Amino acid sequence: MKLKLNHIIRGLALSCSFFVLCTQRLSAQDSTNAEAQITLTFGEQDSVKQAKAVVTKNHAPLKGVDVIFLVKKSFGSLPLGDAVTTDDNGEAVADFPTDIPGDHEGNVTVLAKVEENDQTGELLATKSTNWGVPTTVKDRFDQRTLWGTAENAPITLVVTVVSLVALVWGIIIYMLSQLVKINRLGKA
Amino acid sequence: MEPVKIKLDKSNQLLTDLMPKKFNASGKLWVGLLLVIVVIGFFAYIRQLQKGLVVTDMRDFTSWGIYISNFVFFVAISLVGSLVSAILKLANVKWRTPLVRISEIIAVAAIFFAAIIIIVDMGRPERFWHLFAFGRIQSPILWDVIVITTYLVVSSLLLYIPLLPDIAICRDLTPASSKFKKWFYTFLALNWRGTAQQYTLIHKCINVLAVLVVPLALGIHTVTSWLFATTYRAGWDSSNFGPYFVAGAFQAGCAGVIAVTYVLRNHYSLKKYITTKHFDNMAKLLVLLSLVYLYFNINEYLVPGYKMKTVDGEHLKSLFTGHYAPLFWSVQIFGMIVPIVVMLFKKGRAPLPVFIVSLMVVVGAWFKRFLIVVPTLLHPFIPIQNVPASWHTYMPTWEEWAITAASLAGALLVITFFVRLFPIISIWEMTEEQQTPQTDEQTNLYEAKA
Repeated sequence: MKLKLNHIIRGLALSCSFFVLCTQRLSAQDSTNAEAQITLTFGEQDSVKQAKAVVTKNHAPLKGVDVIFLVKKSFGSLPLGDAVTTDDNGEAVADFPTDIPGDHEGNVTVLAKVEENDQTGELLATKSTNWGVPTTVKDRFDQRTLWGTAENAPITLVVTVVSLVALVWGIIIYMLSQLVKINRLGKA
Repeated sequence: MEPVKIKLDKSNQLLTDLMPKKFNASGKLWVGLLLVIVVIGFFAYIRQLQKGLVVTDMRDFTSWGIYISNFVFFVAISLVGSLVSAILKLANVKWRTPLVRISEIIAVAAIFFAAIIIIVDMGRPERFWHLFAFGRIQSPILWDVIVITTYLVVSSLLLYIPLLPDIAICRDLTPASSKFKKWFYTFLALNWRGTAQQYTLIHKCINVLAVLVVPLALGIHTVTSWLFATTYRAGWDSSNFGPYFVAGAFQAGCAGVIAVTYVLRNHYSLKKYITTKHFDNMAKLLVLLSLVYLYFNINEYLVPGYKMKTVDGEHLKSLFTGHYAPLFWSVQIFGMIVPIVVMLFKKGRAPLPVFIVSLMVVVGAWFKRFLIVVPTLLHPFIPIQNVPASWHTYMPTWEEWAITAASLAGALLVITFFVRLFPIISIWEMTEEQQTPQTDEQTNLYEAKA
């Protein structure tokens, strides 16, 4: 029994070693595949907020790569000016505008993107910052509006439509009652 | 009110002339042709049901194609019921009597097929009831559904109630041996005996409906125009659209009545009742309506054309000088200018020329609705990049043409079968006119027949 337990512990230890080894090898493969990398940081220079992207390949800075800076919108992304080319340090810097609307705390998501580059392929870095202008969206979901749900139609509209329909269909029903009367008169 | 006394024997010339007649060879050929078109359209619709709206050329840009153009055309044509039955009646125009029933059956057939074509345009027709169950009262689409349903019911009543005395004549003259026919007329005649009380009721109903149908008719086409005008799209974003649509509808409807009247007059030898004077009067009315529509067209195109705002400009250029220019100018010239000019002359208001220009107006009216619907959709308000090339153009597929042709043939079939079953000119109203002292206008009208 003692022997058996020992076998189990050794077996478990072996399995763990194998798992750790495999994980390390996979990580090593990942880092080999991801030769080119892009990182995004935020900073300020002379009171101007700036987004900085650093492009590297095999951990060495890469010069002459066009980086596009964008801000994520509800649908699609808004480019922050033209593409910026990386310098000797692999750095591309873009000034961040002061009038980009953010969420209620001013949070915006910035993207640094390299498209169709022979050396790097496509690269993308995403990071959030609170540099946007805080925007409060009025929640009118439960209010009676023209663009609301059927249950939230404006009262005046409901009253107008229902009154018109009731009036016209009231006359139609009266006309049908006259037809019934004509029928009865004929029978008599 | 005095009851109208109608002699139910061979001495009554009105009965000989106006009672429904069996189809002759050309009538059968006409019905056969229409049935073939309907069957082909039905086959195309089955394909559309099986494969979906992908069998059409409608894509993300042009999501409304000839089905909706055809729908607007049908709604437009249907307005004629209110024009002849109500507006001319309220204006106390006596000569309208032989044209009332023709215009009413056109109105009912047109509005019925307008409703049908909306269902055809739906990708999932089995969900039609969702419009009523889940419709938003804020949406003009729901208003249109309500007003179309209401107009169909009121137009049907306006056709049916004045028909009662004539159905009773058909019932009384149908031999007992024709059991089904006898039952059919008896069922529809609602025990009509022609008593004074019944005539009083019928006149009251016609008067009430005549007043009711006018705002409804204006409403139906105004609401249809709002389907377009409540958007920001170039060519549709116009506060002018309601009256512009109504004016166009009266013009198209009037031309439709003239065309159908001409065919019925010749086929059923009704020259004694529908005289050259009727065509002369209707032609004058059509000129007036065309001039009003021309005025609205000038407003609709000249004002944005003067400003040429970016999006409007792109849309207008495609109409004035671009892809749709040949169709646009053909519609304006042959569907409006030429008919106006022809009918300004007395010879142009004779039956045949009026019939020809009326056909031109009707055909022009159909293509005008196409020009209202399609080119705007091909210029999306927000440009979308990298879309498939097929989205940039719209050329209806054979299925769309077949279904559209079938709806038009279907409307004509309804009119044809109605004429086969019921007197197309009201016998009791013609008798009533003969029994009451005639005005100078009426005397002149029926003297002109000779």
